[in-house]
Amino acid sequence: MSTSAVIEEMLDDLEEFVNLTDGVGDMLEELHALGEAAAPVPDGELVVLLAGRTSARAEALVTNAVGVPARPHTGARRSVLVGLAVAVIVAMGITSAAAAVNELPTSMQRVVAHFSETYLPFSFPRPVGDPPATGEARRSRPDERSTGATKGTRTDGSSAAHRRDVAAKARAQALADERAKADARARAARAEAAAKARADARAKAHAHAAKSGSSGGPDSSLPDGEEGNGSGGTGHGSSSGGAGGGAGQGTGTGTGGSTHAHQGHAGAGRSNGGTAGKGDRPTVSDVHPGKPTSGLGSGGGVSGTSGSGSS
Amino acid sequence: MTDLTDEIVTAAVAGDSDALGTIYAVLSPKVHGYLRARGADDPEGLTHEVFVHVLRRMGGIVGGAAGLRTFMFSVAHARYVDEVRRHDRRPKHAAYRPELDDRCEPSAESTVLSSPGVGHLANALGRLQDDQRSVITLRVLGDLSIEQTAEVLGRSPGAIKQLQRRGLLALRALVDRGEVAL
Repeated sequence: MSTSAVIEEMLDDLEEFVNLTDGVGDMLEELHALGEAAAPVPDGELVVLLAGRTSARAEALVTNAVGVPARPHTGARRSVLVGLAVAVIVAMGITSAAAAVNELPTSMQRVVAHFSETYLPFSFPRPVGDPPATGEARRSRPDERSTGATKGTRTDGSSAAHRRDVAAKARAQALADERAKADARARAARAEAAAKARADARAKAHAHAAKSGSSGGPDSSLPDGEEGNGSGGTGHGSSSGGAGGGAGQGTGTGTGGSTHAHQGHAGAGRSNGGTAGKGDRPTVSDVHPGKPTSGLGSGGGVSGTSGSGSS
Repeated sequence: MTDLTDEIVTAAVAGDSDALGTIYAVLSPKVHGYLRARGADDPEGLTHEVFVHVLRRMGGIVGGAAGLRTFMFSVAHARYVDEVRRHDRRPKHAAYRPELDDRCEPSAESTVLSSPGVGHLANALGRLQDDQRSVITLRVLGDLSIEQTAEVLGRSPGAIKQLQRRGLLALRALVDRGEVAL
């Protein structure tokens, strides 16, 4: 459209309202003359642009001259990258949501669960019927290494509840260990006390035997019977005692409630070169009611006699 | 004067220096005249900025000669509007001259339009509304159609027609009343 054509069109439009348009036409022609002046002289930057290169080289020249990188496709690339990032985030979100409710395909659910157990602070449930997590996956958890707890298959996906369970189990185990140690110490103390009591009784028996042996009389009052086997009921006891300083061994069964379960008779004793003792002195079997005891008594006479007795 | 054709624009997009020179020779006086008629402080500098902006984006020009013309005057109009706003934010300071102190400072546009060489035309255009002045100057100096002018100003073609008609009627009234000396 030429300028005159534009002016004619404008005047034609105006003539629909007024008859005389000469003054306006002259004014528009004068206005048009303003655009007929000489072109301004371009300066350096514009000269570079007007130099006429291929588009790419011209843009490079402009970039160098102006200092502003001319990359018309930067916006498109950025849009593509942003779109890809958004797509990846959306896909990860959908996959995570499906894995949390165990609705992924079995193989994919297994992979996601393994990945989460290995690298994430939370874990997705494993497929139904799947074996528990491997030891390698468990070892990779530093918090569980510190507690020494083991992790099984978690299907609820609640790591906090799982950690609480592990801690409770660890505390219960530690408490059980302490109780076992205390019991062991108590048993050891009781055993030591019993051994001491036996040693005292033995020493007392020795002393008594020595005293009896020195008097020459037969002595069958060994403390053997005080430790007897009792099963309640009628007493049945046997004792063997050394007469004349012999060793005695007896077993007795005490009747409940009776302080003397039986009266043992000292067995016949033989003496060698010493005073032969033959005693009918009953042996006291001090059996506590309902608590059978057994014991072994031995004594050594001065003359080395030995005897045995039974009742 | 060589007319601007689609072939020239195509060659310019391909980087032909002659075509680029032709485009500058054809359009730069019109852009300069438009900016001068609108009262820009530095029409040469703004013309330079307009061409630098357009030539750096020659690869994206579509629509041939008409598209290039529309884009060129769109940039020119935007640059002018930017300058007016910048001028409004920072008023021009000048040395005090008592003989000119009438307690009102003419706008930059009025000052330029009243400069020698523009004369009564500046006076007449200065009495139009801004939208009317934009439509008339773009159509006459830019050789733009109603639709192209509407695209540059972001208005509808009907609105452009109405603005053009009212502007021309206002000019006619000024001439009839003898307020503008031809």
